[in-house]
Amino acid sequence: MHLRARLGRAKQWFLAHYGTADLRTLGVFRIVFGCLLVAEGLRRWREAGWAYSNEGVLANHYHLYVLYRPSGSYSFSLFHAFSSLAEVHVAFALSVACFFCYAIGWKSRLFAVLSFVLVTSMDWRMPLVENGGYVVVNLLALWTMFLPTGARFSVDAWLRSYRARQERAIDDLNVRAPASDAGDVGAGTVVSWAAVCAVFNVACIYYFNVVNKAGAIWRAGDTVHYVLHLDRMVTGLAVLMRETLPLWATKPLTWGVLVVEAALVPLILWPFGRRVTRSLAMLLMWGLHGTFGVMMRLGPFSWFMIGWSFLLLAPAQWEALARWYRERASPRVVVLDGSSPLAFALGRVLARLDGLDLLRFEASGESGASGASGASGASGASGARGAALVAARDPASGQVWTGAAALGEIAQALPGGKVVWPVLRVVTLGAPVKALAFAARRREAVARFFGLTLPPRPVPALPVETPLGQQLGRVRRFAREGVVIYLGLCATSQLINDNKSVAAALKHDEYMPWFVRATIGYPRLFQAWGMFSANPITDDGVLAVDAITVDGRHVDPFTGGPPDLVLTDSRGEGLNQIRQDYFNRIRLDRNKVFRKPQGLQEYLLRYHERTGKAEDELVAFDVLWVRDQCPRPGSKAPYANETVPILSYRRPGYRPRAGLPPLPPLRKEESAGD
Amino acid sequence: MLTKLRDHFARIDARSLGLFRVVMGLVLVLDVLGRLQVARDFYANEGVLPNHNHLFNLRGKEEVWSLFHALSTQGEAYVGLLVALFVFLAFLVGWRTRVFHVLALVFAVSLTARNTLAEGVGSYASIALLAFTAFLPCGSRFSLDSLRASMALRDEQTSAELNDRRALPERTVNAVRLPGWSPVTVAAFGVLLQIVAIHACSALQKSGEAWRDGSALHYALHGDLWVSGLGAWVRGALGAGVLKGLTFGLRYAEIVIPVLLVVPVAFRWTRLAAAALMVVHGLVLALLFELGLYGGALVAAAALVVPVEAWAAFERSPKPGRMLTVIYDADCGMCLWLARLLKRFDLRTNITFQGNDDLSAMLVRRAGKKGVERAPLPAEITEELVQRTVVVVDVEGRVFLRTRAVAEIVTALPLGILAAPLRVVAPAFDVLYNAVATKRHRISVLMGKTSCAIPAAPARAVSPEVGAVEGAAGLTGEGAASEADEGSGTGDVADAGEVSGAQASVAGEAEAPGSAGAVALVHAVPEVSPARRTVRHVAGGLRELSAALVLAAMVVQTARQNPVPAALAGLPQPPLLATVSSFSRMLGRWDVMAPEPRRTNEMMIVDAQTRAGEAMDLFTGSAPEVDLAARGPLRMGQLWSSYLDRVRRPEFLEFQRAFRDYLGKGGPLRSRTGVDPIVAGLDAYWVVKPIAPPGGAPEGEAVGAGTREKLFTHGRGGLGTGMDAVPLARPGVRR
Repeated sequence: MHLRARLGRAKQWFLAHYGTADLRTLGVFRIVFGCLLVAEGLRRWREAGWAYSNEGVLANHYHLYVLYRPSGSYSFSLFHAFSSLAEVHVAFALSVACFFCYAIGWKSRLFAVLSFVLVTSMDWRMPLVENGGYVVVNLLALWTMFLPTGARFSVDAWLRSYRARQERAIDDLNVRAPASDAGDVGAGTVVSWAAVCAVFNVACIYYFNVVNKAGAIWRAGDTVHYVLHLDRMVTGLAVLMRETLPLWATKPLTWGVLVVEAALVPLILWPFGRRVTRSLAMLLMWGLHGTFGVMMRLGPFSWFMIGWSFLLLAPAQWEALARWYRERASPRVVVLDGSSPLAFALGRVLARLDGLDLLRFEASGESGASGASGASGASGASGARGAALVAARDPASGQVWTGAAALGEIAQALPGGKVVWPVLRVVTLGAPVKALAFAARRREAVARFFGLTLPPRPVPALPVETPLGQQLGRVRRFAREGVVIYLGLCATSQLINDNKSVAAALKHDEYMPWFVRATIGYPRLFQAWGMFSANPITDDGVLAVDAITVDGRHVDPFTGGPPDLVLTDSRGEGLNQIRQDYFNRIRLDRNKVFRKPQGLQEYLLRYHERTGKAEDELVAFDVLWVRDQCPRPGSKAPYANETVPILSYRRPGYRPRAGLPPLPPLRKEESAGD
Repeated sequence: MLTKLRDHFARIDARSLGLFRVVMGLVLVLDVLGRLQVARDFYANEGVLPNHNHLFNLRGKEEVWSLFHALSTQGEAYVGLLVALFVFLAFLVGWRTRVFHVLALVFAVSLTARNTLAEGVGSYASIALLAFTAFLPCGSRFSLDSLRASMALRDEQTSAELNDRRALPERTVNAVRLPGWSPVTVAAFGVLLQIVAIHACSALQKSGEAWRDGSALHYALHGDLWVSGLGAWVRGALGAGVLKGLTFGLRYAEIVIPVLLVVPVAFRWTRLAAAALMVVHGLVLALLFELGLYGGALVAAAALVVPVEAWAAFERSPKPGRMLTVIYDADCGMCLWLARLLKRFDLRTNITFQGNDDLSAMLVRRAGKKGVERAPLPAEITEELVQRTVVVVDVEGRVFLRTRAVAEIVTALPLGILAAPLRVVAPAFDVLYNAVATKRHRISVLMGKTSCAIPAAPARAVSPEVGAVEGAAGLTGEGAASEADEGSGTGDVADAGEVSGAQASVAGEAEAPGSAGAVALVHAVPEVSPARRTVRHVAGGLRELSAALVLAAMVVQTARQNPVPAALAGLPQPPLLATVSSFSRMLGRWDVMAPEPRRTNEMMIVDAQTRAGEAMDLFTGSAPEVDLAARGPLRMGQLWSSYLDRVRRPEFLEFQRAFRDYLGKGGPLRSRTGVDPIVAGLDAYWVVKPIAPPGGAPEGEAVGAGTREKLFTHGRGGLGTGMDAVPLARPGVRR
């Protein structure tokens, strides 16, 4: 066989195993990822005042000034255009709205692209709090931007199905068309190099996370012990755990993390037996990152890695899931009031939700359900006032349900309905049942209000693709895949350069052309994967401010209380990720530029403006990095508490009021790390 | 009468809106092309004002927002400007008009607010017009949206259907309106008031003696900072009398235009006169001065006041001399598609269509108001001929073929006269025509059109995501409303702009035989449900509220910035209205050449010395010339004119440091030539020279040499060669 043919077959095999994504997988992923983005947007929005606006620790003009390098820094954030807190609120509101639209799948492609621009913009507006989790979000948004995530389980798909399947009578509801049969999303799957990149990228994250963790503490199994004692980033649960868990129990946990991360690489990439390997990989990812997420305040990392795992769902899993659910669900006949446009409209909705094809539809009068009353739960009841709007019948036994009971029976036949329906009833305080009862009573009026008719009015059919359109579509797909391959090469190059475990001979950072640097730099697509590597940090620290107000009080403007300069007695600082990462970064010498004259100093001096009390005006302060050493393995007590002044301020020419002591002398700023 | 008044002041014809969009889009596109030339100077950190410097200087002083503040490097600035160009082009052609209208507004604001020293009255005017019209259906006519919707709604298959030019029934039009659509809207009133305010306030501001004695234009044209190349030529070529006349013309136009717009009588003629005056007034300002968007925006605004009667008269009056019959290949899907397209461009109904399968020795042609009639076919038109080429027959029976026929068709369309030279050059492209004509059936198949010669390829549904986006071309959204507006012709249902002269009845429910498209349409469009109506009312209410907010902001801001009557001047400006005005840069200061043009010619002269010891003005690239008469006009565009005029003032001192650094790195010379002159030092002067009055200085009085004020020194300073020709106003460096 010719080499070319062999290569062609190899490529085909490769794409079939790594580049093929199930549309249902993409749809579920979009919902999960979109919801996470909404949550992430809200999380950062909460910190808008001090972290993202000009009233905070890093004004946009000052950040841009620091970045000011004509023609060369490859940094961009839309959020730099928003200055005041009100403007930043608008920016976050628009961002969250955009993420929401993406989550529900309305204009999915457009909002996928916008979401990518917005998450990268949010990231770069406040680089001091950027961590691996932020880069994970950027990468995930990047790869999936090229995939048709809105093809299933989306508003787009819903609207499309209404145009594609224009049922005219109840019998038409029993005819189900395949989910999709067009273009590169034929047969319910899509083939794209973006899927390859997404899968390999997550595998690389785990691979480098394992190989970079080569330190003695990891080998000794003490990492969990040390990490649980980082008061800066632990949650209350972690504090409880470190106080109760014996040392011997933390060692298997440490090694377990390594084993799980190492196992994930082959589980994700193994091309065969995916029903098992991928399921196992997903479970391990959920377990690993779920544990991280509840123990540590790492920001988006844990939750978005769980989100990433949803891309691993293969058709085999979907089939298994469908089989499993089908065994537990019962087919039902939905009996609709044949004369009611509202009933028919409900039938159209149910037909689209019926992913397992367990529902059959028929008009009342065709079966024993004829004349079933609207009374709730009446089994086999015959109505006195005409047909029920919607009733359910067991095709095997002939038992009939109406009202709320009918809804319950129909819901159990829908995918996930067994779980969702009871939850929905509780959460909405039974609103769907009441709404159905109301609609059944006023069915004509409701139908009139929504303009429903029988048969329904036609809507414009889906446009057909012309041969020219098909050719253009091929060109577009080719161009898109070309861009993805280019981005994949950039990511590979970055993986090699960013990870210390890669041989130095392979590193080529100095040879990277400017456009590759720009491709990586603008959207922050870095690939350094080595959390707590080669060893976890063994010293803990937080920022404390000892500020003196104009009336002589000592206050910490970050907490509003007196300054706490002792960390050894801490049982978790309760700082969220944005705050704790800011504290941890601002102390570093390389970030001195963000301390003064603007930045942190300016923020602290506006303390009284934030509290609205003139007596809170600061006349002096020392910003201190308060650190201690985590307890040695076997011990529970941290030690070596110390304070390092990193910023000191005294108001020039200030004379204290009568009766107040003079200000302490200006402290010499020291290094708290670089 | 009240209804008529209401319609006169709070309703704008859809065609007027469409024309406004096209002209405004063109103005914005040309403007952004100009800005691309100065991207480095005004939109990058290498320019006169880095983004961080601007934001820092603005903090706590003014509420300003610009997307371009997020862009730092020259490359980023180019990308930003190219995106703006794309947005303005989409707005111009009316593609997803509502979205791109809002985006055009955002980009217009962003382009303006990136450097508040370079903003001008043109930006204020264009933003205000864009803001008010964003609430109006500007894509209803003359847009891709309306064209696509129209093509989707009426699928003409025969020449009879192509020749049926009647409008859609009212019920249909109403059914596909955008939510909240209303023919009468606050926004329409607002934009009219804005146009009145611009002209009236400009007139009020011009209280100087020069406007009264007719010398204003003379002085204005001799101001080298603001005069355009044409203006510089005009000031030398036209006599004092002509300039005096022009001065009075401009001044009285600004007085008369608002009067004509508000006078409640003779609507058609007052509005037409106002539109004509606005075009002339705007063009004079645009051509003679560097005022940026101002002149163009005023010309575009003229389209908004063109009355419905004028449009109806225009559309119902085919030009007898330009009437044509087009014989097309009825078997060719592409030919039919082109004919359908032509029908939609043919506003005046000059073109009659005839398929080549329907000849029967008779020619179909339009006969004035009598409708379509049949006449003997010219002898040279044979069955064989009409299979090979498109054939055009004019009213005199002349027959045109191939590219010449195409040229005749184009000239028969509105504004087609501009394409008259095509008639001469067209035959040169016959080869191209023949190539397309011989492959027309294949092209038809490619386009998914049926073709008798070749069976159509099986079409398949587009992919879900494509469908989701492209599906919008159906009956929903603006496209559908656009079609409705196209159908109604006037943007509402009271008139029927598309009704041809031959069928001059107002479109109604009745469906005449042969109007298959209209019949199909009536069935295709759903009834408006109460739910949808409720949504429309809510959306319409919100739209009206938003428009009212913008209107209130505009009124208050205008009252504060202009010498309005005392009753208006005392209007309070709540913070919300101030915020709307400031963020949107609708600053409402209509003070062009007010109270009168400066009687001095003023210019910044940069006396720079290069490392090689050469003296150079960084604006001209030659030796500094302190004699303004010898130097000539600046002619670098409105951004530079506004910027230089502001940056020299004491209130903008904090911006000078960035400017100094910029000049130190080569300034505009480096931007234009790409070569760094390596500046060792420079002195910047503001040179002021009196302008001789019209007719020359009075006898015995010489025009002074003027003065120069040193603004700043950078590095080693300039060489000072020849600078002494103009005395220093205040010796010593001011700052």
